[in-house]
Amino acid sequence: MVRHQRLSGLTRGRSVLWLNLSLWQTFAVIVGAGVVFNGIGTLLVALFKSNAQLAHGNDPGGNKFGFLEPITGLVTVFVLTMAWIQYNDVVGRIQRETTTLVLLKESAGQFTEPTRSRVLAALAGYVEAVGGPEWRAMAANGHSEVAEQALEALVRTYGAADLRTSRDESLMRFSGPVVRRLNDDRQGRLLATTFELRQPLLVMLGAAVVVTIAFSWVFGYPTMRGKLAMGTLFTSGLMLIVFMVSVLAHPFRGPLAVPNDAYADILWEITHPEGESP
Amino acid sequence: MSQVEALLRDMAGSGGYFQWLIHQPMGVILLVIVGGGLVFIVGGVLLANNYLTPEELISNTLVGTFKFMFLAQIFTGVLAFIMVEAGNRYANAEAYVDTEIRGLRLLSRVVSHMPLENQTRFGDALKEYAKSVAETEWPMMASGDDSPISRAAFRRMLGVYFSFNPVDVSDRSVVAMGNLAVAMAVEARTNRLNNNVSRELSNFIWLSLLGLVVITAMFNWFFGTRGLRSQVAMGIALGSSILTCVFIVFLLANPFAGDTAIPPTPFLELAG
Repeated sequence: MVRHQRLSGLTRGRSVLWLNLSLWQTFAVIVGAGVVFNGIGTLLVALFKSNAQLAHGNDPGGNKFGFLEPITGLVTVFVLTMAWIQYNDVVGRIQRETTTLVLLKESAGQFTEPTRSRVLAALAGYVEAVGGPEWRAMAANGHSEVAEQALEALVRTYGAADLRTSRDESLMRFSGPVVRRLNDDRQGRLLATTFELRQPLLVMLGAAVVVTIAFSWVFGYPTMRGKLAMGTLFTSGLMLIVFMVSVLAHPFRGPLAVPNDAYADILWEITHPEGESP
Repeated sequence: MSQVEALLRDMAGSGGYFQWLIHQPMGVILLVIVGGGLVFIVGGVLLANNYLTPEELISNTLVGTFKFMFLAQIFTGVLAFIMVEAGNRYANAEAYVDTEIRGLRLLSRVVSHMPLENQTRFGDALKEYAKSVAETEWPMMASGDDSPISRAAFRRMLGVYFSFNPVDVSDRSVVAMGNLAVAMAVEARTNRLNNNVSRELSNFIWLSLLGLVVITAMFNWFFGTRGLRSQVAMGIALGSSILTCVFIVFLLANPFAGDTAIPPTPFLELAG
């Protein structure tokens, strides 16, 4: 869309290779890697131990160490929930900030000139700074000085507004708390992007999945094709969860990066006040 | 891969891979999700029994149940998680509509304390906005879009409200209350429009859920019983319960589309 051109191409990070893949490619790489790992492990174990030898360990293994699997189940669901909560938290904070920006945009358009143009220009500057440089910075858990300065400029513009009518004064009384809220919303958004638990959670999930897949290699099955088929399905299920977590754990990078569309929409509406369609 | 991706992108073009289904009658949705799923499950069981011997399948059951069946626990956890999330999204959508209507009604009451000219202009603008939401924006929300007509009407309505010049203390207190109502309405409208998950996220959730359903269904193909009939019957029972959950999730995840869509009645009432 035309309205997204000024902010387009800024949402993807570049530092990690797999984060540049599409959703399907990411899915294929992660699930495929798990299936290949399981297949190689299963065949390697079969080289050293016969099926009959492995079958001897089924009873003690299944009864004694079987609780490993519920633990893996707990870990995977826990990590998935954490990743989902964090992703939604980021999306929620962005929605809150864009709502505040809509409030400011709608009220700013009602000021008399020259306050109207000044406030709208400052607001557009802030929106552009967040949707542009700050979006890139958030992919690296950072923030942008440009956005910081744009927010300061917006506050200064409101502070120095030339209020000529009682309507202007009324609008300023409305806008004051909203500007304060915008500052809080930005801080909240930046706080949500720094998800320090990402690495430990991914390591915990990776370890649990690898151990659980490897555990299935030492069980004996009536036939190798049955073992491989069920192991492949089992591994695919686990790796599907790993795929979901990996994608959700990076809200500003990868195939599911939160887009800056809402900011682009607001910028469009500020710069096209006639309400024309994009 | 690129051709497959292009095909999938085309399918996703109008709001997600599964968006076309929500616009069908509920019976058709049920038939596609539960019926289609059962055909897949039963077909797989018959196919597996054709290629694998009963002894092999029964032996798989002995090892497979205690070794791999915890996959069912993971699936249950993920399904419960998605069901709660979908229910939450549906409830939120209802709450946003309710909050917006309350905000607009409060604003209307506040304006009734303003001069007659303002009241008339605001009343007309409010009715125009409510009508455009009910008639134009509601169908568009089913695909996750908003209406430029409603957006412009909303802006006009706020313009009328903000055009009021408070002259005395009484006017200022009226405006202070009106400002709260404006904030409430703007926030609820933005939340109502943003409640839809993005197309990419929607596809991601549905493909992941579908992947887990397929894996769980396929897993059962490798287990066997002495009689094929009992295996098919058990497969149908298990599949029906899983697929009914998926059907419910599908309805809840689309609060503004299909037979179970939240109706625009409050906006129609506001439009008179």
